[in-house]
Amino acid sequence: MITKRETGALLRVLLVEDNPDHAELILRSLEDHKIPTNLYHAPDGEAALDFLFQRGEFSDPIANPQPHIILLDIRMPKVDGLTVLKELKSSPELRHIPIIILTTSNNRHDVTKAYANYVNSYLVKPVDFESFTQLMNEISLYWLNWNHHLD
Amino acid sequence: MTLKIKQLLTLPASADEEQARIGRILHPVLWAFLVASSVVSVWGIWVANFTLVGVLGGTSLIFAGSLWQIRRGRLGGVSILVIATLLVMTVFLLYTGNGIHDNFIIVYPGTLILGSLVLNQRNFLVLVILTVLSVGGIVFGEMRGIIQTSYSIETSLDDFLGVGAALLVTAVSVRILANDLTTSLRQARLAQHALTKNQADLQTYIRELEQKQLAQVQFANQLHTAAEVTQQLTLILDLEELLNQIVTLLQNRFNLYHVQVYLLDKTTNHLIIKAASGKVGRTLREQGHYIDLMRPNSLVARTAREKTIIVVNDVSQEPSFLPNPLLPATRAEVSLPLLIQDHILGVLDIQTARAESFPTSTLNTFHILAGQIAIALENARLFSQLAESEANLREGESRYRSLFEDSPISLWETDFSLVKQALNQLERPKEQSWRFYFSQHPETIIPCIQQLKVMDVNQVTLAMFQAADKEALFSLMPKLFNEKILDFLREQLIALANGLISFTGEVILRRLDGGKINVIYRLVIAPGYEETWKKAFVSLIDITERKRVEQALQAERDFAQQVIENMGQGLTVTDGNGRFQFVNSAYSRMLGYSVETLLQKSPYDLVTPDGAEILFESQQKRRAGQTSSYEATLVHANGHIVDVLITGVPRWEGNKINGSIAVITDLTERKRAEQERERLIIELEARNAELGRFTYTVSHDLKSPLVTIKGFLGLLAKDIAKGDSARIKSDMERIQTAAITMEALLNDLLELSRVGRLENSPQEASFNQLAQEAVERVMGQIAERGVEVTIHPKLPIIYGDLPRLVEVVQNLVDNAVKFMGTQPNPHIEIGAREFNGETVFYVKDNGIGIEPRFHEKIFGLFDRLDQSIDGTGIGLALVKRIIEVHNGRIWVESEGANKGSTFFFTVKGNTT
Repeated sequence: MITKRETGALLRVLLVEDNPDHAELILRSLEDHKIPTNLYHAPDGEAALDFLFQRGEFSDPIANPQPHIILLDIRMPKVDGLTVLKELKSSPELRHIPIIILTTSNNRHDVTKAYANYVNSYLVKPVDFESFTQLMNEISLYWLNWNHHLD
Repeated sequence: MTLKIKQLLTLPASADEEQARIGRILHPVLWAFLVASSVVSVWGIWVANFTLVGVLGGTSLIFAGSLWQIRRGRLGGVSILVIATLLVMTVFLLYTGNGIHDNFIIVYPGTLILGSLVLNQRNFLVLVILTVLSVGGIVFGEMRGIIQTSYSIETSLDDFLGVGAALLVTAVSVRILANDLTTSLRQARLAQHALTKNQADLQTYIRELEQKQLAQVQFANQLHTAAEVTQQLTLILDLEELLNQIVTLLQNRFNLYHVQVYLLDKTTNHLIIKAASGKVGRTLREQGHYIDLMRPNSLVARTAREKTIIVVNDVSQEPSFLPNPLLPATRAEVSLPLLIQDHILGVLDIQTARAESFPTSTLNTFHILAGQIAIALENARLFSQLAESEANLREGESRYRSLFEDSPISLWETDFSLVKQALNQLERPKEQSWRFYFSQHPETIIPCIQQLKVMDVNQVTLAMFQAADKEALFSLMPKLFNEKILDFLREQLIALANGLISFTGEVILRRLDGGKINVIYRLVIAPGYEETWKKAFVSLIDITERKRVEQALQAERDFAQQVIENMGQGLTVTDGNGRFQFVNSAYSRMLGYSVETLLQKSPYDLVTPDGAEILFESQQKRRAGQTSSYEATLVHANGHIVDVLITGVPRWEGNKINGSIAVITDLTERKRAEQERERLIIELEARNAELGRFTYTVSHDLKSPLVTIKGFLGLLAKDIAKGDSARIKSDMERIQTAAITMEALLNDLLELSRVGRLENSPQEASFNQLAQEAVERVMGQIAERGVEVTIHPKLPIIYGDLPRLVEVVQNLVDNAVKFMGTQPNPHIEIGAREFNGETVFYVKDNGIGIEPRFHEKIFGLFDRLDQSIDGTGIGLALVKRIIEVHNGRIWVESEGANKGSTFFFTVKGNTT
C-alpha cells in the first residue's frame, strides 16, 4: 500500500505518514520545489517496514528500490515511527539511510528516544502555514539538494 | 458426847478482842473455882460441915452455869455474877466462920485480882467499895457480938483499917498491873495481827510471782506464734536450719551463684559463716570460715562495720572485693547487714556469676529478707533467753518486763473480760450461729470489741503507732477499732465466741499521725483465762513494707501481664524441649486455638511443612545464644495460612539458655496491604501513563487537524490565485473534515473526562434490556452493514450506572460492526456466562479479529489500528474507563486476523 509518484529522477524519498491530509501537504510542498524526486508514501509503520525490507508484496527489489532519504511521522497505527526508526537503524543494510522525523510531537520522550536511535534530524511540523512552507523549502534545499547521498 | 466435853474444855472463840481476853481469863478461873469448890464441898461432907457444903455446892452450880453462859458470849454478865458470887460467898463464910480473922479472908484479894482483870473501870470501883463495906460490916458485927467467933482475940476498928487498907492497896496495884497488862496484850495482838497480815501479803506476792511466771511461759508461746506468723521461715527455731533454708531459698528464687550468712561473734569480733548455699557452702562451713570484723578488703566486714547495704555490680571494678578461691565465678555481690534496731547481728551476702545492676525491687526483697533474718535471729535469741529465765523463775518479773518492753514485736497485754460480758448480753437465739448473728446485727460488733481494755503495751508498739507515750496510744484506742475494719473485728469476735483461744488476721490500722500500717494481728487468750478472758496477749507484726513491696511487685507483674496480653503481636515462651510454656492471647487469636490447646503443642505443630526447617535452624541459633528474625507461614485452626514474622531471642535462666522467647507479628494484613499498595501503584502508574498519553494526544492529535486546516488554507489561497477549481474544492473539503475531526476529538475528550465519575446512582436492570437499548442506538450502522445481532435470553441482572453501561455495550457493538471487514455473514452475539463465581458479559463478532499484540493497545486513548476506519480512537478507552469505574475488568479474546473477536467485561455490584 505504497503510493508511488515516480518521475524517473535519481533521488528517492519515502514519506511515512498516517494522516492523508498531512501527506498531501508535504508531497505538494516538495513537488513545488522542482527538485526531481521519486516520492513514495507509506500510510503506516508496518507498510513502511515491509517496503524497506522488501517483504511480501514488496519483495521485488527493482519495483521497490530503497529510498535515499526517509521522512518519518511518529504517531501512527500498528507500528509507530520510533519503532520503524529503531528497526532501520539496527539493520546493517538500512542504517545508512538518513531518517528525518517530521511530526507534530515536541514531546521530550519522543525526541530523546529518536536521537537515542540515531535519528538524523528531528523536525516538528509548524502549525502556521508560512512556517510549514518555509520548513519544507529548507528540507528540500538541504536534505534533497545539498546533502550528499550514498548511491 | 466426848466432843461436847471437849468443847466445854476448850476456850470459846470470840471476834471481839476484849471479850476474847476476858474469856481467856474467866474460862480457866471458873474451871479452877468449880474444881476447888467441888473438892472443898466433898471435904465439907467428910467433916460434916453442912453449911460449907451448902454454900460451896451453890457456888459450884453458879460457876457451872457461868461456864455455859461464857459459851454463849455473855462475858460481861458472867464477870459480874462470878465476882458477886465470890463476894457474897466470902461474906457468908466469914459471917458463919471466924469473922475477919477467918482463913477465907484470903478470897478478898483473889476476888479483887480477878475483878481487876475482868471488870471495867466502873464495876471494879463498885467491887472495891463493896469489899471495903463488907469488911467494915463484918468488923462491926464482931465488935457488937453479932458474929460469933471461935477466937478469943478482940476485934477492934484497927482490924478494919488494916484489912481495908491492905485490900485497897491490893485493888489499886492490881488494877494498875492489869491495865498495863491489857495494853501490852493489845499491842502484842496488834503486832501479831500485822504479822499475820504480812504473811498473807507474802503469800499473795508469791502467788503473783507464780502467775507472772505463767505469763512468761505464755509470752514464750506468744513469741512463738508471732514468729510463726511473720514468716514460715521464722518458724524454725533451730538457727542453723533456718539460715540454711533461707540461703537455699534465696539461691533458687533469685538464680544466685552463692548466698551466705555470717554472724558476728562479739567476743572475738569474728564474722563466722553460719549458712552458705551449695557444695562450696558446705566446705566453707566445715572449714569454719570466718572474717575478722576489722579486715579492710572485705565487703562483708565493711557491711558489718558500716551497718549499711553494699552493692557491687561488677567486682572486678571494686578494690575492696576479697576474692574467695572457692568462688571463682563471682562477678557481682550484694552485702546486707542483719540489724535489730541499730544492733549488728551479722551479714547476708549474695553473689551472682555475671556483672549486673540489681533492680530496686530485687534489692528491696533482699532488704526485707535481711530484716526478717534479723528478726528470726532475734527471736531465736529471745527464745534462748526465755528458756534460761524459765530456769530462774525468781527473776521472773523484771525479766518478763524487759522481755516485754524490749521485744522487737509489738505486744499488747489486754483484758477481754468485758468483751466477753458484752457478748453474753447479746440476745442471740440459741439456734443461730455467731456468724449468722453478726451478719444480721453488724451494729453490735463495734460496741462489743470496744469493751477491750489494754493493760500495757511495749516500746515497739509506741514506735509503731508513732505514739509519744502509752497515754497517747491509749487515747487512740476508741478510734483504733472502727467500721473500716468491721470484717476483721467480726472474724475476731466469732473466733472468740466460738471458744477459740487464738485468732490471727491481717488488718490495716491507723497510726496516731493518721498513717496506715498493715499488720498481722495475733490474739492469744492467756492459759488459765480461757473462761474469763481477763488476760490476753495481742501481737502486731508490721508488714506494711512487705505489703508495699508485694504490691509493687504485683503491680510490676500486672503491668507486664497487661502489656503482654494487650500487645498486638503474639508472644510465646518455649522451654528447652521446644514446648510452649506460655503463649499470650494475641497468639491464640492469630491461630484460632485456645491458649490451653496451644500449651499442649509445640511450634512444629503450627508451621506449614516447609516451615519446619527454618524453625529448626532458628532453634539452633537460639541454643547458640543468637537472636534472629525470619518470616514463616503458620497454619490457622481453620486451615488458612498465616504469614508471620518471628523474632526470637534465647531465654536465659541464670547463665544457661533454656528455650526461647518469640514475638510473632501477623503479616497477613501487612501482606494484603502491600498487595493493595502495589495494585494501587500499578493503577496510579496506569493513570499517569494515561494522563501522559492524554497530553501527548492534545499536543499531537489536536495539532494534526490544525496543521491540516492551516496548511490547506495556505494552499487554498494559492489554488484560488491559480484558479484551479478542482483543487479549491478538495482543499475546502479537507479543511472541513479536519474541523469536524477536531470537534469530534474535543467532544470525546470532554466525554472521557466525565467518565471518571459516576453520574447516575447505581441501579439494577436485566442485561437483556440493557443490551437491547444499546443495539437500538446503533441500529443504523447494523442495518447498513446487514449484521445479524443475537441477544441471549434470560441474561443475569446487572447493577451500576445504567446509562453508562448502555454506552459500553453500544461502543462494543459499534466497533464490532466497524471491524466486520469483508465477512459475508456478519454476526454479533451478546451474552453472559458464569466463570469462577463471577458473571462475565460478552459481545462476540465474526469480523476481522485482532492480533494478540494489539490486545492491550486497543484500549489506549486515541489508538487506532486502522486509519481507514472512522473514529477518533477514543471508543475503547471510554469503555475501559466506564468498566473501571464499576470496579470491573475488560479484555478481548481473538485468535487472530479474520477470526472474529470477543470483548468480555465484568461489573462489580457495588461501586463507589
